[in-house]
Amino acid sequence: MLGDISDQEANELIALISKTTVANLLNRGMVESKMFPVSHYIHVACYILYDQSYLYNILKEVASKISPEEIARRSKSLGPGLNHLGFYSTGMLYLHGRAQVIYDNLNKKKGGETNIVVEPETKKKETKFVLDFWKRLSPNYLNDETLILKNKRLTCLSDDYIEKLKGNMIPINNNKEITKRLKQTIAHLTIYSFLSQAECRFTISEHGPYYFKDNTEPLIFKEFIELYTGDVMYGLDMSGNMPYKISEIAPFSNVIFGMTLKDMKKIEFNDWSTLFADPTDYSSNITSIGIWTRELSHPKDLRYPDYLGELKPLSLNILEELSKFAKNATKELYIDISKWNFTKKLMIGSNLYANIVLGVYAQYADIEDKFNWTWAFDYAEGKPLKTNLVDKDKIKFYIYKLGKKIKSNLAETEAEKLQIIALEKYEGVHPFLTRMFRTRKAQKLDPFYYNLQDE
Amino acid sequence: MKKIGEGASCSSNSEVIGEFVFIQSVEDVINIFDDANGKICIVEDSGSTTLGPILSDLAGVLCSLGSVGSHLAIVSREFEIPCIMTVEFLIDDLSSLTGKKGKIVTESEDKGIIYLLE
Repeated sequence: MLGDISDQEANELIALISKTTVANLLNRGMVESKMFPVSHYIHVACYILYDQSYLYNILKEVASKISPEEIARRSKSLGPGLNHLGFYSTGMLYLHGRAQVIYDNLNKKKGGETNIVVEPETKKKETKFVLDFWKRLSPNYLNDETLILKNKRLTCLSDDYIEKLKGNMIPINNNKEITKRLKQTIAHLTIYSFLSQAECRFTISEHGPYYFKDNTEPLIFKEFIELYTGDVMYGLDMSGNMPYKISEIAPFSNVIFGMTLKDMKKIEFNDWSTLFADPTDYSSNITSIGIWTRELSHPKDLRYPDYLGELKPLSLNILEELSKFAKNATKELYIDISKWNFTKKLMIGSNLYANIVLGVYAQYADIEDKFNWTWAFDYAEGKPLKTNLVDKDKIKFYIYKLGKKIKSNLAETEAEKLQIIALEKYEGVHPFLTRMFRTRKAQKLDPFYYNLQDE
Repeated sequence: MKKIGEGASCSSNSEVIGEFVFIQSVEDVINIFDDANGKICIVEDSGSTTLGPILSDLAGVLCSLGSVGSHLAIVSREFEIPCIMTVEFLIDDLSSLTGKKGKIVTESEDKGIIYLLE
C-alpha cells in the first residue's frame, strides 16, 4: 500500500533529496527577475502543496487510478510532458513546503507557544505517502533505474527507440551557418518558454547522452512543449481562462531537437535537467541534428501518452518560423505582463509550481475534470475560488508572511552570516532556506528538509 | 582603459566592445526595445525574463548575482553572447556607467574581466 514505509526509510529519502537539492541550489543560486517575484511565488506554492495538503489530496486520487510506476513508464518517450524534472520536483516542492511549516512551528515553540505540534501524525502519514509515490517514479523512468541521477546521466529512451530516429538526423558537416540558426532558434524558444512560464522550466527538457549503434558521438535532446496555440496552458484546456493572449501562434505546440556532438570533454546533467557541457559553447561540436514534432489533433493530447501522435521529422526550414514565433511572442507577452499587478505575476508562478506537474498526473489518471485548476487566476482577479482544496485566506496570509525580507541575524555562525546577507536582497524567501548554508556535518545529522519530527 | 570588475564567464567569446546600460526595471528594457544593438546590459537578476526580448540584440551581459548554471547564463550561451555572472564591480554607482563605452574580455574558459574605455 502506498505510504506504508518506515520512519527510517522516510528519513533516508528526505536526506537523499536534501543533499541533492542543496548542491543544486548552491550551484545555481537564486533565480530572480524584475518581471516575476520568483522566490516569493515558489514559497507560496510550496505552502499550498504541503500546508493545505493540496498535493496529497490530488495525488491520492491519482494513485487510485494509475500507479506511479505506470506514470513513469508511459513517460519514456520524446515529448510526453512528464520527465525527471517533474518527478524530482514532486518530492522536492512538497518537502520544501513541509520544511517551511516545520521551521515556522519550531520557531513558535521557541517563542513560547507550548501547544504547537511541530509535525502532527496526519501530516507524517501524508509525507510518507508522497515520499513513497515519488520514490517509484524516476526508477521506472530513467534507464539507470535510479531515484536521482547516477553518474550525471539523464537517459530514459531505449536503444531501439534511439535507433529508429537515426534516419531523421541531418548531417551538419561543420556548417557554421546552420549551427548558428539552430542555436538562435533554441535560444529564442528558451526565452519564450521562460517568460510564458514565469521563469519556470517545466516545459523545457534536456536529456542524454544516447548513442546510435554504429556511432560513438553522444546524442542529446532538447524538448519544448506548450508553445502557444491559443487555448491550452499547462496541458489543460484553459479556454476562457487564459491569463494572456498572444497574436502570434506557434506552428506546433511542441518541438524536439536532437544533436550529435563530437570532441566533447563533458556532457553532464543534474536532477533539475540542466545540461553542463564542456566546451560550454558547443556550436562547433555539432555533427548532425534532428528536429521533430508530435502531431497532435489537439495540444492537450500531448498529456495522454496513449494518444500521443506520430513523431514527425521536420526540415531545417522550420527554424526560421519557430524563431519568428518565439521572438515576436516574447516581445508581445513581455509588454503585456509588464502591465500586470504584483498579485497576478505572483499567482501565475504559484499556479505553475502547484499545478503543472500535478495537472499532468491527473490527466494520466483521466481525472483532471474532478478538480478546478484555475484557482490561482481566480485569486489574482479577486473572484471566489471554485475549489475546496485551497483556502483563499491562507494564500493571502502566505503572501503577506513571505513579503518580509529575511535577516542575517538568523545565522548561527559568522560563515553563515556572510552567506545569508546575500539572501537579504531577495523578497519572498522563506528563512528556512538559510539551512542550506550549514556545514556538511550539520546537514548530515539534520537534513535541509528536516527528518520526521517526534512531536 | 580601466578595469571595473570581473566574474565567471559563461561563453568562449573572447572580446567584445559595447555601450553599458544599467537595467533597474522592466521599463528600462522596454525603453531600449528598438535600440538594444551593441549594448552591454548590467543586471542583478539571474533569471532570463528581465532581458528576454532584447537579449539576442545585445553585445554582452553582466550580472552581479547567479552562477554559470543560471537561466540567464544558459540562454546567453545559446545566443553566443559574452555573459559574465557573479560580477564583482570595483565601482559602487553602476548607474553612472549607463551610456559609457566598455569592453568584456574573456581571459579563460571561466573568467571574464570588464573594462571601462575612456
